[in-house]
Order: sequence, then structure tokens, then C-alpha cells
Amino acid sequence: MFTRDLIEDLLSKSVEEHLNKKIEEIEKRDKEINAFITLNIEEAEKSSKEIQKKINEGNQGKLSGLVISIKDNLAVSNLRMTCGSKVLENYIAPYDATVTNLIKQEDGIIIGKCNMDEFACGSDGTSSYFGPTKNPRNIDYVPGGSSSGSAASVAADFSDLSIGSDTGGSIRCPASFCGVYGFKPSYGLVSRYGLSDMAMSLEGPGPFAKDTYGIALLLDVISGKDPRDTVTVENNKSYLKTVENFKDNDIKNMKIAYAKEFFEGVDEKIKNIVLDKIGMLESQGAKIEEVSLPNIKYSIPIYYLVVFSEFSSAMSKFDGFKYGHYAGGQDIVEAVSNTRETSMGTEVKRRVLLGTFITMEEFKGRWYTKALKARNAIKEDFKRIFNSYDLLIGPTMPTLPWKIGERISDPLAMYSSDILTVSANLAGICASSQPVGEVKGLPVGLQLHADSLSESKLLKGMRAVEIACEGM
Amino acid sequence: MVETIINDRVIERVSEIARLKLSDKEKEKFREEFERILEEFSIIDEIKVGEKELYYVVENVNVLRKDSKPKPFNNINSIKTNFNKIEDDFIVVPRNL
Amino acid sequence: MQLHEDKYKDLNLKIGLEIHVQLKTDQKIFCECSSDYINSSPNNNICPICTSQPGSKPMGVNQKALENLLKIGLFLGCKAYEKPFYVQRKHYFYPDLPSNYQRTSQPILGNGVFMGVGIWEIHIEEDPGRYELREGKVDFNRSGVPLAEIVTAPDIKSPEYAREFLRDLLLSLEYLGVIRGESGSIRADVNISIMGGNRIEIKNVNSVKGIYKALKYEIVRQKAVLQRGGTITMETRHFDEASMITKTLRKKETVADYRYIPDPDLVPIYISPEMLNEIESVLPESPHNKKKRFMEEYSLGEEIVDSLISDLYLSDLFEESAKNSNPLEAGKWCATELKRRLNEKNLSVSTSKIKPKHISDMVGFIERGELSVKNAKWIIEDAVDTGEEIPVLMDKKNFYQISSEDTLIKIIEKIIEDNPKAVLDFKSGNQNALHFLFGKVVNETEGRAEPSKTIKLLKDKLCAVA
Ligand SMILES: [Zn+2]
Repeated sequence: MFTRDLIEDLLSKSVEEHLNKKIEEIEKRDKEINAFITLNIEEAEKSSKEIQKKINEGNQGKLSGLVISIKDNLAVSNLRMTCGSKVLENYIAPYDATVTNLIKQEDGIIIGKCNMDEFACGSDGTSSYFGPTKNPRNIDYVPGGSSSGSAASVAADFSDLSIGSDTGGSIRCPASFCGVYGFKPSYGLVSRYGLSDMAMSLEGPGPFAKDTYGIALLLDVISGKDPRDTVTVENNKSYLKTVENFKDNDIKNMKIAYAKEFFEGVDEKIKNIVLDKIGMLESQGAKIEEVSLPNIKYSIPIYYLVVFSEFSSAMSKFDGFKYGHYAGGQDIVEAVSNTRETSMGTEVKRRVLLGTFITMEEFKGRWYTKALKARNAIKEDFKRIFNSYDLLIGPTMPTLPWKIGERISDPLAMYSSDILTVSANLAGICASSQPVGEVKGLPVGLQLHADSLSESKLLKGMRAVEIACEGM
Repeated sequence: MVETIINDRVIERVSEIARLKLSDKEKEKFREEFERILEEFSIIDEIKVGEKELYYVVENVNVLRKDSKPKPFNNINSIKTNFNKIEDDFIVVPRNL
Repeated sequence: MQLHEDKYKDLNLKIGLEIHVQLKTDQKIFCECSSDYINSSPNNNICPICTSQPGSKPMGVNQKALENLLKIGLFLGCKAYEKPFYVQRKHYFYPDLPSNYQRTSQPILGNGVFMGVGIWEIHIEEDPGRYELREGKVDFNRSGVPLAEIVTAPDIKSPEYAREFLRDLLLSLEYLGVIRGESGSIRADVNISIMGGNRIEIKNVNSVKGIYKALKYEIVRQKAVLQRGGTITMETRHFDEASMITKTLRKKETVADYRYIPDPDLVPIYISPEMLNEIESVLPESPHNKKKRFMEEYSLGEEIVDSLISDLYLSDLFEESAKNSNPLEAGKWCATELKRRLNEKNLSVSTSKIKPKHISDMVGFIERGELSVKNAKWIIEDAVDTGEEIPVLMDKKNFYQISSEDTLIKIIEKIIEDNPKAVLDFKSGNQNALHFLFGKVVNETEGRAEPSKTIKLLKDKLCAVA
């Protein structure tokens, strides 16, 4: 297991050296890839020395000097947090997000803040005010979004692990496009404190890694109940153990469902690769059955109606007075309107305006409340599936990565690429993406879903697929 | 069909409520887009829904916090550093006469 | 005072209040900053949460704030709603509101009555910071202090009653120990309509006096509009504290659509029957029960009882003094003269020096004929002002009444001797002569002669002389 070997290496060799290798790699290639908005080299070097000391004394934390990048919508104290926007171009976070805090406590080295779609409003990593991130596998292609820099930094070896956030696929999509592991935890498993809002009822931070072990390791560190986030729940933090104790035999007891709706409109080549993997699992003894999720075709509108509503509310705070870009004006109304006009990008404006519209008294019932009722129907669908199955399997993305610039002008085309990922967020369940093959050098991701707070089942499934792919 | 016609007056009002100034060109562009997006989204009408509006996907309720001695934040100066304009520790904003 | 003031009868005044009081807690409602925002220099009682830094989330609602709110509700006779409530986001842009939405809960309790005024509903919300609009300065120290909003029915019929209602409500809440005591800790939005016309809302009036003045001004203004043949249009006005008048808000500022949504960051809250029971068990007797008990236990009249229970400190003082004196007398003095003096001095029982012993001692002196009712009124004023004991005050003021017959007879005999002409007049049937002689006795005793005894003895003596 890659990450486990890496930790063993770190314990016997030099944390500082390891960090330097990452820094070299970044200096060499990030001008092109643009995975980082802000680097944290000085602090990283300082903490590498401290962690080295701890390792020498034998009292290092779980992450023991692994190099970790963090999406730029998560607060790291005294470091710039831009959310990929001009709005926060010069904003210095005055506090640590809970996940940041936990990573620091367990001796992860924070190398920098990752590029992302502006305020996480995008599916391909190209809408950042700081320029598009490029796919390390082929720089003409998009890396996927919105956690574009997180996925790219792991794929390009700029960091060992990364933290992104997933509102409707923002971890899984770039994981799939860049060929790395990405994990969207159940809603409430990981604290959102310090995660800048996109749609609060849908999202949370989650890990990127090069293998299941790395995902489980980071999940052990960042999960758990947090007094600063009322939706969080208690858990036993034994994910790494689950992965380490995985036996080939475990797969024999798995009941895995696949839904035909998750294959409709999916690129044939992707479909074939995923179906091939499903076949492998079946041949190893997993019980595979087809199920139906008839409401999936409504998930995009439901998802986006919820996103617009919550996003427009969350974005109200940016008036330029307390922090962020400020344009000024004669009175408080003009000053705020000017500030927002001149600092927000097109997709952000689009969502703020639409969200305002659909929550106005006269339109709310037609759109916002209706979407919430429909959301319940989606949740019920998944509940039904997970009453009988451990996992739901399918592709992560309906298409391969597209060329940079290809979809920027058509919002509906961009929204439609989220079709396979948004349901997990609507239902609050956990889901993952992992690389299972490639087409013309572009990675293909396989997605697994498990019921809310059934992370262990999901990790077992990931491990089973990982082992199946090792034989390739 | 979208029964909500998004006319210029509505866009105007939305832009005022959202405190987001729009040029005439933007207004027209967004108006046209919104109609297109909402028209496509109106397929949600086909779903059979119940009365329940799903606001929270977790079961948590009554997450209350015990009142205790205040714990002052230790990095107040960093909050102030981000103020757009500061005078005697106040944030300076336009007046409202 | 009545709900219906005669002078406003023809106006058909309807006044409703949305009253905001700060709930007493150590920490703010959603963060660990201090609720004591006053003793801090600007923007020094803040954190990422109460300044809405990107990524910050509210912590769970401060339990003490919620308990205090429940106490208020139950005390005002409200029932808690049985279903869970959400904390909602009320969106409007204003520089004192760090998120540009205010977190405000759905109604938690409702259907109460206080002093004859219906209480529609009570909910909890966060206080915004402060925006000095003339100077263009913002301070977030207050942002996140827990507030209770109490919404009354439009049952109030006069500015005077509004003032009395608010004064007594504040006293009760202070007595319950559930609100912050600082001045300016009450704010209200005031709704007023006259002659069945449109409702005018006056936003954000910051004191009991301000509310009274705003109402007075609005009545005059609306009457003038109507007299000129105009109509009152529904609108929101702002009260200018400096000039004591209300002003129309500019149109720009009234373009609002609060777009309420449940805050996704705060899970619902359900008030369980156990929670309510616990609070009820530590709650002081409700005004309603107290009223019933006072009328039965002390045989006091309704008007006196209403006056006593409107101020719970006063009702406590009464009960304490009634242990050592005639309750009927003690009640009467507490409800009338004592209350009058406290109001005059803008004091309450808790802030003045008056003690139960003052009342019981005083009633004793009156009943023993040692203190006149007239002088008792002076004594009560002094007791409120100085806190000195009644016997000390009696001495100082020389208020001891002369009611010993021997002493009075001696004085009367002297007066009769000194005024032979008046005695002759009395004998010839002139009743004025009796008053004249009585006046002489009063003068001689510097007003301390007990009047009824004096008259009786004087008559007896005059007849004896004849
Ligand atoms: Zn605070």
C-alpha cells in the first residue's frame, strides 16, 4: 500500500527531505498546472523540523510529516483564503478550520492552499479568478472541479494527501478526472467549521489520496463531532483499521447494487471499463444486482435549486466592509452593490441572482420548497436501496475530461456533468471515486455509494476495487 | 412551460435585493438564461412528492450549548486587519443621513 | 390606569409592540464571546463567528438564553409550541449585521396575556452589532448577544398605557433575573393605527420614553393628516431620538424581501415537556395565580391587587410587610402612595431604599393613632428617599400624634380660657366657633392633636362650661 509505505519511509528517513522533494516538484511544474493559489513553504519547513524532532522522540501524530494541501475554501490561520475569487483576493483567515486544526495536531505538513472554481461554483476547475487549474495527466484538459487544485496536487505529486470539499461532486469529479482517490464523507461526519459556504445542507470537507489507505488515514484524523458544527455526529475513527484488516474474503459478503439510470447517457468507453470492474467483483464472489433509481433524472434541478437558494444566502456576507474586495459608493446601498458587482465572477453572480429569485416570497413555494420536497423523495430512494444493499456502484462522471474552455459559456451543459454525483449530497450519504482505467491517457473513475455513516462499508468496497485493479 | 415570467422589473428587483448591480446587457443576458434554466428545471413537477420538506439530512436535534465563562478569541487583531477601513477600532462605512 | 384612556376614545387607537430584550447569559448566543459587550472597546469582543468570517458556523444555541426565554414565556402565561422550531435566516443588508442576515427563530411560545395585553408570540434571535449612521462607524461587540422578541396583540389603547405596560414588563423580567439590566436594553418596533386606518410601523425605538414619545408624535401627525383630508398609507417609519419625531424611511431602504429560510447550519430545536416542567418548577408564581391568591388570602380589592402584582418586587415587599401589620392597610399603602413615589423618582423597589419594615411600622403607627394619614404620606416619601427607620423619621419630623386624653384636655382647657368670646359664640349656636377653637388647638400642638378625639373632647368641654 503506497501511503503506508510512505509513512514507514518517513519514519526511517527524513521528513525535511521529503518536503523538499515536494517543493522542488511544485517549483518545477506548478506554474503550468496552477494547483496552488497560496504556498505555505516557510511554515511547512518550520513544522517539518518540529515533526522530525517528534519522530526522533517517537511521539509523532498519525500523519507523521505527510505533506498535505488544502482547498482554498478552508481556513488556515494567518494564511490567505481566497475561495478562488477576487472577492477574497487579500483575505487572511484569522482562524483554523476544524479539519486544519486536526491535521496540525496529527502532524500533517500544510504545504499550501489549492486552486478551485470560484466559491466552488464549477465542475471543471476553470472558473477560478486565479486562472484555470490544468489536468496533470494532460494539460490541455480540465482537471475537474471544484476541488481542482486538490486533485491536481495529489496527481502531480505536489502533496501526499489533500483536503477538498464536496457539495455535489466537487471531490469525486476532479478525483475521477485526475486519476486519484477522492472521498465524500456522509453529511455530518466531518466538521464544516472553517469551510466557506457554497450550499450548507449539502457539503462537507473530504480527503484526496493516492490509495484507500491514505483516504482512511485522513478520515480518521478529520472526522468526529465538533461543538462548532451542530450537524456533526460521533464516530469511532477506526477507518484505517478497517482498511488494514481487509481480507479478500470480505468481498464475498458484499451486496452491491448498480442502477441502470447511473449508466444512461454515459460515454461507452467509461461504461465498459466500469462494467468490467463490476464483473471482476462478481467473479470474486460479490453479489451484484440491478436496481432502479427512477428519480435520478430529477437530481440536477433539485440539486441546483437547493444550491442557488443556500448559496445566495451564504454570499450575503460579502459586503466589503468587514473583509474582502471593496469598491465603495456614496451610501451603504451603492457601496455594497458596487463591491459585489466588481468582485464576483459570472457563475457566482448567476447563482446569487437565481437563488435570490427562487427564495423571494412570491416564488419560494414554486421553486425552493418544491425542491426540498423532491429532495426528500431522492433520500427515500436511497434509503430503500441501502435497506437491501451494502453498496451502489457506477461511474463517477458521464464523460471523460473535456478540453479547457469547452463548456464555460453554457451553464446547463456544465450543470449536467454533475448528474452522477449530486444525489449522494442530496441524500447525505457517503461516496467515493477511484481510478479504474483510462481512455487515451485520460483517467476513468469508479464511484461507490454507501448509506449515511456506513464509511467502513464504503472503504471495504474501495479496497476491494483497488485490489481488483492491482492485477491489471 | 415556466409560468413565472421573469420580466425586466423582476430582474431589477432581484438585483436590488441581492445588492448586485447589473448593466443592461447583463440584465438581458441573465433574464434569458434564467428563463431557460428554470424552464428546464420545471421537470421537477413530474416527481410525486409528499408534504415533507427536507431541510436537514441528519437526525440531530436540540444541539444546545452550556453557557459558561466567556472565552475571548485570541486572534482579534487578525480580524481587524481585514477591515476595509478602520478608525479608532471602528469599521468605517458610508454614513446614512 | 385603564387600557382605554378616555381622551383617546374617539381615535380608536390600536397599539401593538414588538419588544426586544437582551437575555442574560455569560456568552453570546452562537459563540463564546462575552455577552457583556458594553465594557469593551470597539470591536474587541468579537470572534470569527459573531463577525461572520468566511467559513465560520454558529455553535449550538446557548442553552441559558433559551431557558431564560422560556421563563419569560411561561411567566407571561404563554404555551410552548409542541413541534420543533427552526432558527431561520432573515435576509437584509445592513452594516451592523455581519452575515447580512439575522438568525431569528420561529415562534417558541405564544398565546399569553400580561396586564390585559395579549402576547402573540415569543422567539429568540441574535442582536446585530451597532452602526452609528451619522458617523458611518460599525462596532460588532454586541453582535450575537441573545435577544427575546415579544410580540403583543394591538391591545394597547394609549401611549400612557404603553409606557406603563413596558415599565411593568421590564420590572417583571428583571425580577425573573432573565434580562440584562443595562439601560437601553429594551428596543421595540411599534405598530399604531388610528380610526381603523392603516397600520404604521415605527422601527427600532430604543427606550420606554422613546416609545411613549414616538406614539405621542404619531398620534398628532396622523390626526393632522386625517384632518387635512389625507389618508394614512401603510409604511415603516424611523424614530429620531434627537428630535423626538418619526420620519419616513427612504424608499431604497424599504426594498426588502426577507427570504426566510431555515438556517442549514442549525439543526431544529424541540422543547420537551420535561424541559418545560423543569423551568416551571423554578419559576416564581405567575401574576395570574398571585392575583387570585392576594384577593383570597388578604381580601384585597382587585384594583389594589392589580397594582401590587404589576411590580413583583412591590408584591414581595407587600407580603413581607403584611406579616407584621394589617394586610388591608399595608396593601393599600404599597399599591398607592409607595408606588406613586417610586414612579415619581423613577425608582423601583429594588433600586430604592424602601424595606418591608417601613410599611409595617408605618401601618402600626397609624393604627395606634400615633401618625396621621396626611403625615404618613410624607413619611413614605422620606422612607423611599433616605431609607431611615420610621420611628427615627417620626422623631425628626415631630409627627407623633397627641391622642392622650389628659394631654388634650389640658390644652383644650387652656384654649377655652384664652378665648371667652368664641365660647360665647358657640353657646349662641354658632358652629363656626367650634372650628375656630379646633384650629387653635391644632396650632397649639403644631398639628399633632389627634383630630377626632380633639373634636369630641372640645365639644364635651364646651357643653360642660355651659
Ligand atoms: Zn463571538
